[in-house]
Amino acid sequence: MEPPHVRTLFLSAAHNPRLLWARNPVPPLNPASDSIAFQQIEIDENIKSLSDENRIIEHPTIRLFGSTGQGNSVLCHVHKFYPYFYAPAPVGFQAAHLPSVTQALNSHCGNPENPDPVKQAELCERESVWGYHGNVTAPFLKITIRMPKFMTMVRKAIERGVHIPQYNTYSATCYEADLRYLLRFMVDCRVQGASWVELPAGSYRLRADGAKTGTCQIEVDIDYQDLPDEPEWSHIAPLRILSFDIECAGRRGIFPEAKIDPVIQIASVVKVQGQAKPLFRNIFTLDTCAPIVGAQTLSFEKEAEMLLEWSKFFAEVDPDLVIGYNTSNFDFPYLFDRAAHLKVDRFPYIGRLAGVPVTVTSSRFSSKAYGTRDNMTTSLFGRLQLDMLQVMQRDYKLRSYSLNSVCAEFLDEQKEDVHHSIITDLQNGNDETRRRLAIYCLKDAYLPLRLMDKLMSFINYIEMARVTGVPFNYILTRGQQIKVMTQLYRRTLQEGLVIPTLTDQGGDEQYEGATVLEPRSGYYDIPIATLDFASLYPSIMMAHNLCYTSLLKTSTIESMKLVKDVDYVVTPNNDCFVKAHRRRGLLPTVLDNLLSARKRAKADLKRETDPFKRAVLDGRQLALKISANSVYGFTGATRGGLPCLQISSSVTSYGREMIDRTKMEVEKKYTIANGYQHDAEVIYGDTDSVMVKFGTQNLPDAMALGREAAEFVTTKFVNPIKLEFEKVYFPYLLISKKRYAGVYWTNPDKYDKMDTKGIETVRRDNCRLVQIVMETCLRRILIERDVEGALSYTKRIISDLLQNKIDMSQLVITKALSKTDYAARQAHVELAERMRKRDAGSAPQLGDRVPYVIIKGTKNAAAYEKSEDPMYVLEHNIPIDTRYYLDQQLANPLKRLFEPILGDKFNQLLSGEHTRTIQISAPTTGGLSKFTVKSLTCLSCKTPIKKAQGNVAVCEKCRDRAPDLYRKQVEVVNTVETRYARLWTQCQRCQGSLHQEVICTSRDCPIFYMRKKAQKDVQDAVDTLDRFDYTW
Amino acid sequence: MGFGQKYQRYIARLILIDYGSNEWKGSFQYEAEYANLYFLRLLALKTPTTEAAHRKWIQPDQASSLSASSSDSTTTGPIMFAPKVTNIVPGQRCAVVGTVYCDKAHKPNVLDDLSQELWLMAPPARDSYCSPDDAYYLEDESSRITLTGEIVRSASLVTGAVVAVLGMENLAGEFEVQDLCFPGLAPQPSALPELAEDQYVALVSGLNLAEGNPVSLPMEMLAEYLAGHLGAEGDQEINSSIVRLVILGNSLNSTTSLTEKCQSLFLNGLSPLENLDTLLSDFCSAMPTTIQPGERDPVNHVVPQQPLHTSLFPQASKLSSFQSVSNPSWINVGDISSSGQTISDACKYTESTSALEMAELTLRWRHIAPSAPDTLWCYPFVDNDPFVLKSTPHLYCIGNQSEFDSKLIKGSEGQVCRIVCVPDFSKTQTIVLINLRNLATHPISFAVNF
Repeated sequence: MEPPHVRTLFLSAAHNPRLLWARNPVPPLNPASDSIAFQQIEIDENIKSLSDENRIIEHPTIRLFGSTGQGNSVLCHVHKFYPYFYAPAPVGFQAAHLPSVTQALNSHCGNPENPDPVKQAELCERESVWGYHGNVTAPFLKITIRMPKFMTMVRKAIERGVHIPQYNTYSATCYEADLRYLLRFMVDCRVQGASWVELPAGSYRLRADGAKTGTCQIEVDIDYQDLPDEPEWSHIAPLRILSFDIECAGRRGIFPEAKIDPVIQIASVVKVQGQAKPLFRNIFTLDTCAPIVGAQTLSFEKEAEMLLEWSKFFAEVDPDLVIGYNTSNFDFPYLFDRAAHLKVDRFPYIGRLAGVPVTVTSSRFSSKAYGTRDNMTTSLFGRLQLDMLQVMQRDYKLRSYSLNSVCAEFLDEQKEDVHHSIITDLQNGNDETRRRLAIYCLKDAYLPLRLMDKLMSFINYIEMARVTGVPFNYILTRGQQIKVMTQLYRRTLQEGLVIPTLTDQGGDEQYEGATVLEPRSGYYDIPIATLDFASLYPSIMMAHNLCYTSLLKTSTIESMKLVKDVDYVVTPNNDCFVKAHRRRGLLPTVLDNLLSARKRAKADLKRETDPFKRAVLDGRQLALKISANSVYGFTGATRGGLPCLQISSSVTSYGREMIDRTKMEVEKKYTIANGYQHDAEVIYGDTDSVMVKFGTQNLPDAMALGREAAEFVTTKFVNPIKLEFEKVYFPYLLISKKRYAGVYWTNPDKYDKMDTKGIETVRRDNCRLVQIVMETCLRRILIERDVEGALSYTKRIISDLLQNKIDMSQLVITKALSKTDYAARQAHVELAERMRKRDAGSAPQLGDRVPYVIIKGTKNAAAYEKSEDPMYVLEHNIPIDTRYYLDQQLANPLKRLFEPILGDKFNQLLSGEHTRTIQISAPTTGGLSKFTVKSLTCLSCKTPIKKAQGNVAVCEKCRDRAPDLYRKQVEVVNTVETRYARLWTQCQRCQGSLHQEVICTSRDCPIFYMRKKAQKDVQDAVDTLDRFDYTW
Repeated sequence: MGFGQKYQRYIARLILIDYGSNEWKGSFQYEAEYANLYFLRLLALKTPTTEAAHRKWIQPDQASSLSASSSDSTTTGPIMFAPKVTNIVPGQRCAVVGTVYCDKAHKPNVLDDLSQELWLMAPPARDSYCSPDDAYYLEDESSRITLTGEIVRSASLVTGAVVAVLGMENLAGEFEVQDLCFPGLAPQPSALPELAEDQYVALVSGLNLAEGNPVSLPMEMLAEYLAGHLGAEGDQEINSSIVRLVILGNSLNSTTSLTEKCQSLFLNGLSPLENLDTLLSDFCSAMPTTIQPGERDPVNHVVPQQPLHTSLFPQASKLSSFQSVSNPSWINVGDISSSGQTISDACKYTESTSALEMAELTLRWRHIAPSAPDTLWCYPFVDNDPFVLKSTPHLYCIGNQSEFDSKLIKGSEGQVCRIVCVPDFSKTQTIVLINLRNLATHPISFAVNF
């Protein structure tokens, strides 16, 4: 039984769902005796102004936003932390002269508006991270700045030269001058991303309601020295997550514009992190809406009123995380533009800062790993945002990123898709049609939440932020480098090292990448053992102590009289690094920490049974792995924070050498001459793995040899480099560099999966047929080990294709109409234009995806002239250009797949016996169709049946065969009737209603064209069956 | 009467063979979808279900005694009837009528099959659609709501049944069900006709004649028995009182050719179809014989299955005692027969409900094929749901079951109905005789031990 007070709340909330909107009230807090622990989710920097000696002086502060374990929102101001940087002290510097340094800098840089930019200068012993110089420290000046904005100014002054009375002109390279104030704070105070922060009792000051600057429930001030050191790790606060979606009533044929088209519905789903089900859902609608079970409907007569109420609702819910699908680039900008247009002045106040309106800005995100993307950003001050579309684009390579196909891929369900052209019609209907739309809108608001939970995106990002120590929103908005950079800073702080601030050289120097052993292409019907180097690049760096701090200059070697191979190594790239006993490198230490933390996380994961904690652990080990692997990239990023090509080139050169060495060792040892059954052969190698054909037919033997070889070769390398035997491919189809497929075995009794690399089955501009054929062939060849079967299957498909027996939904090609002025003429653009001429309203718009098929055209017509709307093709029986699908779609993928197997005989596959029969369906429109006469033929012998005989099924001669023909036709009818029934009932299930008609127009759904075709087919089949009634 | 006149599908009109009453008719259009069918079903059953729920839950004396014993307003007090699902008020106890939808993990899913390229043929049959994650919903044209509560899981609910639920919507928007109510047995307008003496109807199903399964000795014996040539004196007295033979489906196994000659021990050189024709004409010369198709017969699979084409049986169809009917079908004195797939499919929605129990449930739901069209394929009817029971039959026969089973059920208004599960003859060699005077059942076995 629930306790009585819960019951009361429950009942009243059921009557008035608004009671659920607000957070739990804050329990009484006594700053003297109660500590506050909260998980911070966002950190930003702020300025506070204090009057000091009759003038206003600005000070930087840090703001932490977060939530306590009880679910109360917190804003914590951290004071007295100032930015600083280092510069080498002038030669022979004396501590007594520090005040004159401060003075000199202040008089050099200061002006009446910004007096005294430098707060103080201190003298300390530090060592530069760059290069090995005998472990000796040097005197450095630590210059503390009053405000972050003065940093560049002061640094530039030192770089250019400042006159200091005792030392003439002082100029030096600056150190750690480009670390952002915010990150400086996090590094120095050991605050990780999304970490827990505990404010000890007696150390903080609680703000009264009147003094609050934010909308959080608890607002406190603390000095940075009072923040305790060790952040607590693992759990996640009950953060409030709001997922939303809006619908706009566009005009026919035009994409909605905020200045003209109204927002008609806003659906929101609110969930508390860690709970299985959403807390509540609601929908704000313009005009009335019939009630919806499980969701509150709030209807408004005026759009402005609806927007205003929604923003109030949003502020009251006070979400920590706001998610949706394409909310960054569509929903948020649209809402703000619309509110501005309707002059809803109070709308933008939905951030966590009182009296600060939220605005939308354009930004560009650029990264080597993720490419360049233009984005709109809506800063919600203290609330996180996760646009699931961006998450998908960033983390997954997919055929299509529509919410529908993403759901089909990850949630294993098709989503009902209401075409935007009918949204306005639904809105203009009655309260039932608006309800229909509202249900659709609610679903779209809930799906991003389900996706996020299913893919663990939020948890994984939190763990990534914790592991790499950057603020949460850096994970989405910044690249890999900043993560490595902050880790480096955290490490140098502990070791008394300082990092030079490099001015951007902007070089695009290339260095040689990984090696690929020339593949011996072919189909291997024997086990191929795969030997992998575990974490290859990190372990090379650890094994050879490759780091900034161990990098040697020739002059240093000479001056310190270092001995090759005793004190230092020379890498295959001819760079020198001291060995670990001289100086343990920083990067190897960072890597060691990351990899052993990963080992721990994996061990914990094995023991843990709670699914939620498992998710967190799994996210952590993944984050650790990614972080370890990105260190190498960081050293090679010429536009990055601290590029050092000596390190990255040495890493790859070691890698290449190791692959070659492995090949050599394996082929030398495993020979008949050495008493083995066969001569082993390395058939392929790439970056960190080699594929070995030991020659044995037997899977357990191949595994044993693989294991043995891995151990044997490992002994040839420096610790911790380790060659591991991971799996056997059997059989294995090696097509070319980076393209192969095989059945993956780790256990001789049962294979794990089919593994394919670089074989494009998911390219967007392929039709589904290509995907199905490729997948089926691979399965036949690899799993069933039936090459003949794959060939005859392919022949059958080609023959079916040429005879028009392939279902049209498999031939549909889809492309997004992204802009109209393509240089070359493209099929989907041309089609969109033609459809616009036919009916402007239903034609695809900019941004829509255009599905098309290629139809038979005049001879030599270009493909772009032959594209047609699949619906139009179905309705008018237009013949498909099957040759196009064979030559342009199937031929190349099939060639890649079968050429290693068939060699020269491949061409027979595309032009053999099976390609001779071609059937063309007669069009019912256009051209000669007016002149053709349809006549009945006997179902058995195809003899034309005379009109006088009526609508009979068979001719006189074939009457005996009638019962069997009848039975066969019954089978045909059964097939199409069953198909009709299954397709339409599936659509009912998917839309979640039995009593309403199906209005879904999701062209991504495999059913969409089929169900239309099924209606036609079933009528045709039944008509034929009915001919038997006249026969007997 | 020519078959063509009755079988008027080319104008998209379907007539169920219908002797007892005139209520089973419906027309369909392939251009339509199934939403109409559910709408019509709910329209037909909403009133009787509401009335039954009123009788069950609103009894003045009972309500007052309960409210006196407890003050908790969530389980007692006056019961509101929500006119539609969407009118349910959270936190308020109410009753509502709607169509059940069972979300079962193992229902055949065309999308799954599509991804495996298996979709051209019907999915392989499963014994049960159930899994631990099954969800239940109640819906009408206005909305859908999740049903929770142990009573829902244990009630053997099937998609498409129209029921009333009593309970309350909770915070999560789920309806916590306290009680369920079915429409109950439909009225029975006429009592069982008074008969002076015993009259029997013989029921057989699942002859399964096929290329490899010709007419067998037990079938021969059956024909002899019906003709009065077999059995002791008592038997002959009984079989002389058999007034009709009804064949409940699966007479042929049409997965193989029907016209290939087969080498049978008894009827040498005849095809399965000829075998059946001969057998039927034997039956028909002994007594009136009704043949109904089943899922393996050479006829469409969607329900209602159309009568077997009379031209398939050139000999038997000449006899006036031959009758070919649809499946399911009303026959003669007010009995329904079904060759079984309506019940077999519905049984897959439950873990342990027997065919007999399910048949009884369908009577109480007043709908003999609730799982159509969700998992039992049927026509997209547009003006009437032909499977709704407007009256309770006296006899309800389910063919092609694994064993004989039977139960007599009685309704509150004096309705009487005998439910009979007729076993598969090719497996059990058993037929069932029903005494029309008192609805007593007599299974008779023709098993032969060599």
